[in-house]
Amino acid sequence: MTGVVADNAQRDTVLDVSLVRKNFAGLVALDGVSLQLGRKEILGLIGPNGAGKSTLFNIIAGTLKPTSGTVTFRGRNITGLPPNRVCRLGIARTYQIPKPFLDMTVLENVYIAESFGSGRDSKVGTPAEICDLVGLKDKMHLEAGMLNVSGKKRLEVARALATSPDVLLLDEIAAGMSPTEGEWAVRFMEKMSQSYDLSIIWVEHVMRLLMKGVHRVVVLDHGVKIAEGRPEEVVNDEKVQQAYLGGKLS
Amino acid sequence: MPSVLPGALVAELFILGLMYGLLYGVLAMGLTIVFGVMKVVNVAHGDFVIIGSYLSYWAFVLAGINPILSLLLTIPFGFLLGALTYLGLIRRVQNSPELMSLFLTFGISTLIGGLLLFFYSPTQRAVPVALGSIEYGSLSIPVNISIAAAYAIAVAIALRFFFYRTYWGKAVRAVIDNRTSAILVGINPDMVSLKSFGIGIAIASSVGSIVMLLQSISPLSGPDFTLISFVIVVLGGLGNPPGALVGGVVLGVVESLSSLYVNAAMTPAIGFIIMVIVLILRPQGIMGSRG
Amino acid sequence: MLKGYLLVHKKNFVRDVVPWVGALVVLAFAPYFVSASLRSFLLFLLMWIALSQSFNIFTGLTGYVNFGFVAFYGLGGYGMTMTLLSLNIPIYAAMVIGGVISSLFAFAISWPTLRLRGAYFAIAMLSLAQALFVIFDNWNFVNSATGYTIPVKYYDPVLQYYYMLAVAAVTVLCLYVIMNSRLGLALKAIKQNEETAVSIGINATFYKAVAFGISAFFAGLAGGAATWTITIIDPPSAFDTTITLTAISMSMLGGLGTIAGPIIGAVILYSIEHYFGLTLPYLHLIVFGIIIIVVVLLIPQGIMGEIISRMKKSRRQEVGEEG
Repeated sequence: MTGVVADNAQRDTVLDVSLVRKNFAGLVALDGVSLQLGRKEILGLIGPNGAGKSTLFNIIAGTLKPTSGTVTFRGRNITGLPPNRVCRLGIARTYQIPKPFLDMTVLENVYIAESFGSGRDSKVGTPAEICDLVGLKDKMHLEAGMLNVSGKKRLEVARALATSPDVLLLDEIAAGMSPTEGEWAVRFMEKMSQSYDLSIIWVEHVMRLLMKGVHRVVVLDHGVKIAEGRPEEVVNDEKVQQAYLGGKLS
Repeated sequence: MPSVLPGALVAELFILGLMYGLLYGVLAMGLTIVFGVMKVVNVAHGDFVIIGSYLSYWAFVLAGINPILSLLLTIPFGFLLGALTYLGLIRRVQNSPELMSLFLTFGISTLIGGLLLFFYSPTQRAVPVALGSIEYGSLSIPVNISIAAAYAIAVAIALRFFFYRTYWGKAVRAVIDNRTSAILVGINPDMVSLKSFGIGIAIASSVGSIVMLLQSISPLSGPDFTLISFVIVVLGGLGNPPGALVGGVVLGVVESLSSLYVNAAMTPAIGFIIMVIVLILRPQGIMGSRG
Repeated sequence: MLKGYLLVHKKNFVRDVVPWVGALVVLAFAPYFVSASLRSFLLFLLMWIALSQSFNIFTGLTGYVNFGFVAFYGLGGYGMTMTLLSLNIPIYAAMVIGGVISSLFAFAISWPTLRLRGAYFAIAMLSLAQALFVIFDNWNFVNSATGYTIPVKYYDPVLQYYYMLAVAAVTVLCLYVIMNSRLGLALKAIKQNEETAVSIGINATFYKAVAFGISAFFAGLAGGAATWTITIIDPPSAFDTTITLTAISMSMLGGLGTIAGPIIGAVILYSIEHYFGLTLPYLHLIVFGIIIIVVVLLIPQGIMGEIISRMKKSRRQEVGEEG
């Protein structure tokens, strides 16, 4: 079934990253990376530490400007747009280290995102409904600073969903969650993607989990795309095994 | 005496600017070391200069001690004062939002200015030491400015030795470079902060002694020195000591040469304009040091 | 409807509005009852309320420290004086023009300065105010070091009092409106985490610039009203760093980011300054310095901030929720 979705995705591209290159003071963080994200597709993005995953996220979200290359979203060139514009066009992100508004309640966090994120009511629901969806219903009126790691990760997801995105960039949301919660995240993302027409790029270090949740995987190593394909193909790819064994086993 | 040629005038202004710039640069190094280690911008930096100046002034008035000799007084006193300020006040806001350390050092600056005014009145004070000038052909370089430059170079060399040849100097560099890693390899960050704040203030107050050779001061001169240091630190990059020295020289030379075209009273505005241009042209480079 | 979710504190007309209106009425009738010297004391107290509150509008709501705040006060003062003297228009019109000039200046410099974060912004603003002082001190267009004197024909202490009252009241009201608006919500997010705020679609540059411009406008109005009262303006008085210092001390002591805080701070500190100013010169600098240091170390949120967070804490305990 995943195969069918993946094949369909090829024909209906939402996000197109083309030959993106990023240099930091002489260091090449990304070296001509291209990838396409299809409609309702969940794409896993993996690679050893320092492979360039975060840099790529930051470039798509507008936090960093690429040295060269383009990012196209639904046919529109969004390369170098500031993050707030990118968000309002429909690309939301979560942070690997959660960055909530610490002194606001969970609900206020979600409310602000809903209110500024897209200029219309969130397609996912009201702020309270979104809190409920991610499992924060009974913590809605707590200050975000009082949540535990798992709660903060859920809030990252809720805040991103509240901006009514078409593309969601997930950065290690399962890290810090229990295995059961991780399984929940996988099912949750599948459901979100189908119900709300959401395409997802998902970075995760818990590989076993990620492989269950994604339709397709792109592997980065030292800023270069070394493999792309279905999870089961990629896991057996020699170059991928090399990269992980040669680098840090995660 | 032959009329001064424009070329000679330019050369003289250049050399004077260079010399002043070295002193400014060393002063700014004190500020930038503190920022690099603690991420604290010490708004009271210039006020510690004035404390040093007053110390030298009274040493001269009461005991006839030459400001150069009173460096032996202001350097250890500055270090001690810095260490105490760190222990009593700065340490408590190290983990607070940046806003708090800005306000705290602003409060310290106000307190120092107020205390000096209260005890010594707003009168301008100067030490009457006439040192004359050295003549090189048509160039005339005042001796006091040469001493300032020599002191600046001595401090820069001493700091280089400290940073590259001593344990604590290397520790300071390590903390500036990456605090977390430095702590992981066993460096005591509290001790590094204590020493760098001490060094920063020792530099400031010893520069205060040298300033007594160059100009008169009043209790409210402090913020002027803070501002000069800020501009230089922005030019050289916050938390980058060698950059501060370069920034100081650049500012000194530009200010000095600009006196050919602009009313000398406007000099502080020139510093600001340079800073704004730098901030506009390379904001990434400058903001890069913020995580 | 969605606003309902944000009712962290419930709106209460009697509690929220009555004290303010009451204070306004008392202050409006005060000139009929009090001595000239007390009226003058109240006038300057109102000026400090307006100034600490306009400082609060930017620094309190965004978390960006404006060490060059006095620039807005000075520009407003010069703008008012120069238009009054050259165009011969009513005082209030000249004051508004002063405020607008100050505000336009803020917008102009917001482009380079508001891209800077934290310490860089503070430094840039501090040196900007200093640069303005130097420029005005040497600029013939603004009568350089001599400055201007407001002609005696404009002298009217009671009217001056009412103008200052109006400026202070409008500034406080504006802060209230901002805090309950979309702008206030955006600023709250920016203050807490600018990166996240931008990532959820908030145009931080724009909102910061708007708050900056509004802060400058009211500081400029207060500068105009103050200049009219003091009757002289020159670079050292218009760009006096102690004005920034005082606004910072007052709003910090009372509580940045709150409405009542800067007012409380102004009342306490101006009373102290007024008393010491009469007895021992310069002592107020020592007192202000110590107050800033003590507030930062002991009650960093200020008096009102401390009260609000204690109330929150006790409410949490009542509800019985745990972290």
